[in-house]
Amino acid sequence: MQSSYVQTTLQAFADAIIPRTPRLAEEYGRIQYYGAIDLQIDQFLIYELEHYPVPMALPTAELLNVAATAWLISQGYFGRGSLATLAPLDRLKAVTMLKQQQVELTALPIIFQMDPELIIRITDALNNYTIIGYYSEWSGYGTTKLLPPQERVMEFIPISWKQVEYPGPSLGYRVLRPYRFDLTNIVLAAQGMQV
Amino acid sequence: MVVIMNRIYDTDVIVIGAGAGGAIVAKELAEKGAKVIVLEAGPWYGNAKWPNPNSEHGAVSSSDYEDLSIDLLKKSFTDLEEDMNDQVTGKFRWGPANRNLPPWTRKGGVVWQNAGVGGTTLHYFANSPHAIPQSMDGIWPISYEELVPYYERVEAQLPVHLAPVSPKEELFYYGAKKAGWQYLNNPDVSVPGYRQGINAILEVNPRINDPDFDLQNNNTVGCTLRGHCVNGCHIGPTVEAVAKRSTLVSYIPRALATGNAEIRPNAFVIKVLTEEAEEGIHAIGVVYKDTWTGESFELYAKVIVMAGGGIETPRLWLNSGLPENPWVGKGLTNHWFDTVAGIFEEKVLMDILGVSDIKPYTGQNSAARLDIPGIGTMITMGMSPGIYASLNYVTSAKGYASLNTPDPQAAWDVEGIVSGEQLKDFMREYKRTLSILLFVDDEVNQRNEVGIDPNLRDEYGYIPVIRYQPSESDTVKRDQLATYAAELLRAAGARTIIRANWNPELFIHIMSTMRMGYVVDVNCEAYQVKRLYIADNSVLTNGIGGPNPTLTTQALAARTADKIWDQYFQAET
Ligand SMILES: Cc1cc2nc3c(=O)[nH]c(=O)nc-3n(C[C@H](O)[C@H](O)[C@H](O)COP(=O)(O)OP(=O)(O)OC[C@H]3O[C@@H](n4cnc5c(N)ncnc54)[C@H](O)[C@@H]3O)c2cc1C
Repeated sequence: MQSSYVQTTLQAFADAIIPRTPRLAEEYGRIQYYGAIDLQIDQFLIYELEHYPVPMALPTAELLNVAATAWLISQGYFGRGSLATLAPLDRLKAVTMLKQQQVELTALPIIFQMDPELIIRITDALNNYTIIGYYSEWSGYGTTKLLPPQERVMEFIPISWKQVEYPGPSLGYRVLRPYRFDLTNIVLAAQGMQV
Repeated sequence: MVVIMNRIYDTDVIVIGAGAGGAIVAKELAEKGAKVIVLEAGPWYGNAKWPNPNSEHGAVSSSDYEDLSIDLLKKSFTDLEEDMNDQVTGKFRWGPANRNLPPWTRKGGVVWQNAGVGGTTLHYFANSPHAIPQSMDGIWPISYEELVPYYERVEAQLPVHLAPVSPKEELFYYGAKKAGWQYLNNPDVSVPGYRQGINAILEVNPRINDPDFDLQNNNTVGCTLRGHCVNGCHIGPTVEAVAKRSTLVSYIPRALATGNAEIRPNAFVIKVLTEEAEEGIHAIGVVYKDTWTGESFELYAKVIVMAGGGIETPRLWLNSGLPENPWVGKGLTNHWFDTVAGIFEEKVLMDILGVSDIKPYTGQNSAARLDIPGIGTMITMGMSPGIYASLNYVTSAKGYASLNTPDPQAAWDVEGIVSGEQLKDFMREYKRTLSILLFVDDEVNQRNEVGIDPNLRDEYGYIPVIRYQPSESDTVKRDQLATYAAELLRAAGARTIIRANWNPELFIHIMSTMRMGYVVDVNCEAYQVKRLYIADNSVLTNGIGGPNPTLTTQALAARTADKIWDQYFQAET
């Protein structure tokens, strides 16, 4: 199990990307309320980062918190920041500072100092993993979702699928259209000639 | 190394990699009568010799058509996108069969490639257009005409068909026409226009819309428009009759059927062995490692064919210490992709299509196209929601859209990574969103390259390092294409248009790193190492003018097989 430090930080990130949305819930139905926190996407992020070619969950959490500190300083505050205490939009601003190389390299975990390209790779990956974790079947693995991939089983339809009205995998759809191309202005592509 | 004059060969030909190109060479040569061993780094799905391909070593090799098992394929290909396509732990990833082990490392970007019998065609969309003729003629050492008979041969074998129309394609055609593009007929395109998709997917059963056509117990041959090209197609009564024609189900079964081909999955080649003789340096064998046990093996053959793809082929060349050549690994083209998505109101769709949504998870993942020779290509794209959201909304070089000031001059409304409430609001309209994937005819530039890290290695050698920076003109072209895509969506009636603006370090069409005319000759034999051939995307001399590259690589691979036969085996028979 990862420390609550790592978990809190990654949860703050995932929440900034996919928050709970009461306004959408009010307008379009209760299902639209739930977000990354409800689907435990922080646990997905930890799983992915720990299975990166080198385990990355802890250094990534540190990276995000260093960025939070840098952002606070840029706003005239002092002291150590943590991503989780920033407002969601400010979390994204902090991450943006990392991408724009506005954070002192020497303040970062050693693995990023040795390979600064990894900063971009990991921040891009975080966006991507958050989305894949949330909108794919992953949360539907329920109680088995943190087991090795071969041992997981689908237990229920993910909330996210309901939000986007994805019915889940199917063996086929009756959606063949009897479409006819407009042949009045055919171009013979090879010659660029009209016929 | 011990030099044996009358070497005992293990086989006639060794093919490295069972992907888009390697499988073609293997089948073509085996059919002519050569004995072929294919070494593939990844697992083999749908084969009785590997009943649990991700959790057990299984057998060493299979050479028997009867080993193919559609039931096992259906068991492995679960249609679940994270299970199949997660880049870290998925079944389709650049990594070993054992999913408890991490993926293999590359530096310099995110590479969307897959290890396994079938290679990256296991999750490709199967778009199979020709090259743009004027991108070859006078630029490549061979003409477009020279390739046409090989295109035809591969098209017949795969086979390649005009793609069916589902609502998302119809909407695209409607927009293309409204935006003023002309309709083109296939297949040789030299002027801009939109056309029916052309892909390596078996035709849809004409009864599909009939409510009595039983989709649950369907045992017929043909695509069922279920939208899982990218997650691994398993629709069909046998492996060889599966609808989407990855080489796993097309060329590999044909290779096995000859009785002359043996395929070893979980076999990562780490070195090409050579020998100096009268004919100069020539290839004689390979060293490979079993990815489960780490054990090393040597194999010897009269001809070696590299087909590990645009990154691993130059890596293997460099790690093998083969002769220096200023173009090895250089000249990488990547088509620098982007997406533009349009969200539509129900009423607008109703008026155009007679239905109130397009459900991007239905129909083939990509089945309509618009090519602009010299600039690039647009194709429709729709699939399951995770990958869809990832490609359309969070893959961007532009940072978070919520922090960007929208450009009032731009043809789109939103640009960058979509997050927060806006992301959920857009995804809520997933069913009414048409996505266009576009890619640029990027220039060959020697500074764009695949090299190896001087220090970092994994168990298979120094790891590959990719450097890719598009040129000024590539950027102009891509902005142009994105504008055209947005205009098309707007013409079709889209309410909100989102441009992702992908970063260049996302690699999907990895081409021209071992270019014909520079590293290999007109027959795809290495200039500096006889009996060593290349048959993957790396031998393309350029990015073929913009269209999807695989069919061109496959046509070339079929031609290379003929050349190998003529050069080294014809006389023996
Ligand atoms: C999502 C997606 C959609 C795509 N859609 C299309 C499309 O519609 N049309 C199109 O034309 N292209 C498409 N592509 C690109 C297409 O997949 C590639 O162009 C094509 O597969 C490249 O063929 P290749 O032979 O160069 O390499 P691959 O198909 O990647 O095959 C290389 C094989 O070699 C193996 N290998 C590598 N190194 C070694 C080694 N040292 N030892 C042993 N084995 C090794 C690999 O494991 C792999 O199986 C798509 C790609 C993606 C990711």
